Amino acid sequence: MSKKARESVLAELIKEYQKGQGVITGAPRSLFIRHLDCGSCNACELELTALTNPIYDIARWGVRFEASPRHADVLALTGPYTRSLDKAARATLEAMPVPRIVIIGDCAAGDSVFEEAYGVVSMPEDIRQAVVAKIRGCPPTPDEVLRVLLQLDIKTTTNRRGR
Amino acid sequence: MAIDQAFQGISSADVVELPCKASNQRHFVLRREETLRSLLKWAHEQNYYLCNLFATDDRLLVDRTFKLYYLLSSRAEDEIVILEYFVPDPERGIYASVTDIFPNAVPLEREIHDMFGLVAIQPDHSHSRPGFLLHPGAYPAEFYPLRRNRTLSALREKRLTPFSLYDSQAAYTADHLPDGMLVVPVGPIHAGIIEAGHFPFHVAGEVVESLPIRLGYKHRGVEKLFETHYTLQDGWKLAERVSGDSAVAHSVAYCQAVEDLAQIDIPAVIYQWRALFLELERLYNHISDMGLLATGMAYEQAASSLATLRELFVHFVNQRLSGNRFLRGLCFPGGVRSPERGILGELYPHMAIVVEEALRWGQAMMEMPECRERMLTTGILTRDEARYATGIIARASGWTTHDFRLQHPSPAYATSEVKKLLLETITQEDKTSPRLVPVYAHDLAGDVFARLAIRVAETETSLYLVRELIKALEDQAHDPSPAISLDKSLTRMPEMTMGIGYAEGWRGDVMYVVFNGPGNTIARCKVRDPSTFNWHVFPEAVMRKKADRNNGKFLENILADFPLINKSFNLSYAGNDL
Repeated sequence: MSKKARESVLAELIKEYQKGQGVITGAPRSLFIRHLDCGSCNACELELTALTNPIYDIARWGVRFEASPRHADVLALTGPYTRSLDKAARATLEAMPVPRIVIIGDCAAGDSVFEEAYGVVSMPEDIRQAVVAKIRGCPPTPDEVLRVLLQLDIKTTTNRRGR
Repeated sequence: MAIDQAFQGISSADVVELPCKASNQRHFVLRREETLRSLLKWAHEQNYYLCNLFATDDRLLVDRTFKLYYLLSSRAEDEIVILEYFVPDPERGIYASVTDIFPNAVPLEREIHDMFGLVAIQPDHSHSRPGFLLHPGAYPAEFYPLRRNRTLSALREKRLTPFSLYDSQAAYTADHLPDGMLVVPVGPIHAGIIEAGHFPFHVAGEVVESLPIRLGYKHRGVEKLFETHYTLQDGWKLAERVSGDSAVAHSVAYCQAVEDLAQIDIPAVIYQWRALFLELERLYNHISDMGLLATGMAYEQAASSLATLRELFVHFVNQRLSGNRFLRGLCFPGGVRSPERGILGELYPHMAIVVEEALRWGQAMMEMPECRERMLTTGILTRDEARYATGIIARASGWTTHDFRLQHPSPAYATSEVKKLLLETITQEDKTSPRLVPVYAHDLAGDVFARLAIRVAETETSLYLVRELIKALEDQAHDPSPAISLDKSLTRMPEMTMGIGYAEGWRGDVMYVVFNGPGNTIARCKVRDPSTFNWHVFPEAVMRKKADRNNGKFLENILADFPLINKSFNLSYAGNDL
């Protein structure tokens, strides 16, 4: 098949995809997300990665994934919270200017196949208190994640040290 | 079979052969350590592959000790040899290590150390080290979760002891390193959207000298969970969540293990459906990996295009076919949940266009001088080092026939057309290739380029395999959801019967071994993801090493090469940590 024919079919497919998606509403904003893996099966990671592809193109809303928790507005926490990651997770939260967590997926929401496993512990209080939104699903689709992120209210201006 | 030759000169009193239902399996119970070692040595010389090693706690059963199982896969014929041995002294819990014969046993022996508290003794009397699954800070000493006398409630009761976030981090000090060398600690939480693992780079200047990787952060206790919360019939739900991107490979391997345990014959059409799902999983993951490699090289046009193609594939193929973007919920013991009839024929034309476009981008990356320069000779895993690797990593280093689809084909892969397609994946130097994007044997030198090339070549193979499988499935008049009930056969089986299942997933061979307990419960389920072996050889590809034994030249990678090498391997952390 020629390149041109292929490209026109692909363009049609993308159009069909976006029509099925419906209208995503939300004002453009500035939201920096830091991903925090607490023992997920890596499906949630793949869906978060999918948010950055040209079809979802999360950057057009001003949302982006950030490399450091010090620059992040929210932590996207995936996975059932394993014992071995407890320390690293709390250190990551500690490094944020304002602690906010968005729970991604059923595991992190405390309702998954791994909940009863011995390597999984319940989240400590400081993590739990920082949760601002929960996105359910195993894994949640990029669409669902995007919709919640766009509705997220993070207007608090004070940081954890009250300044 | 070839294994019979190995028993020449071994007294029959030392070996008992147990009957196996599956025609490609042989099961031997060994009584003496020397017999085990001599058999393993023979197998190593005959180019067998130690595909699994695990322990079971049989202290409450007839044998009153721990059992060890060594599974060998023949590269030459469809044969899997099970060597069963026991731990001579369960109180002391020591047994002979085989890492001097099969180096890929290292991660498995260390796992046994963590899970059962059994210590492997090397010929030089050194002990195996504990593995990484149970971190000392997070788990108490002598935790040994897979011992029978450890109940889940007791294991869960041992709560975390609170510790300071700012305790001394002895692992990061470089006191033990030579002058001028530094440790650059990376992880366990990474800067991108990836899984958790700790990489302490030992660098001299920019060059990575060594890389003692620490994994196990994601250890959830999957194998214990199988025993406590699942029955043989519904364990697939957990199996497909062990490693999210290999959901099909894990569930197919699990289902085959249970079917092998139940000793029933499965209709060929079920194997065909499963093969189709496996190939679809391979396609979307390979396309995704090509895109990640493009991102790693900052070739943004290819990266964006491939990410779009992957998304289209996931949406229009996976979602339509199974209702799930990761092809979950399709396979269960005894059958598959097949999609409605006719949908395959509808999906194929669009899928073929998506895959062909992805292949063109893969070709562009392989041909573009800037990309070639970035990939060639970066992260070389030599053929010798890759001997104990598996899956695409081994194939990219020149072991092109190390593929369970060729060695232990399910009926769907056993036909001559499929075999021909698989063997055509790599073109020999002197032949002209019928392929859209030919990949030659000389491309497979074990570097990042080779790992891209093998993905491109396998993507094309999988496309043709999917075409063949769809043709076969559309032709056959069949029940919309072929399935047979296992309940009767399972209740008939005596306790502690073993079932083995395997599948060539997109990363490599996934293997499950399942033992039944009373009333269809699972007494032991060993999960072995291909990443277990590949993580073990991964540091070799990154660190500074001699190009070969005879010349003084060194192969070097700098710290900035690591992200690209890591992406080219793309190993599963969750599948390794369990």
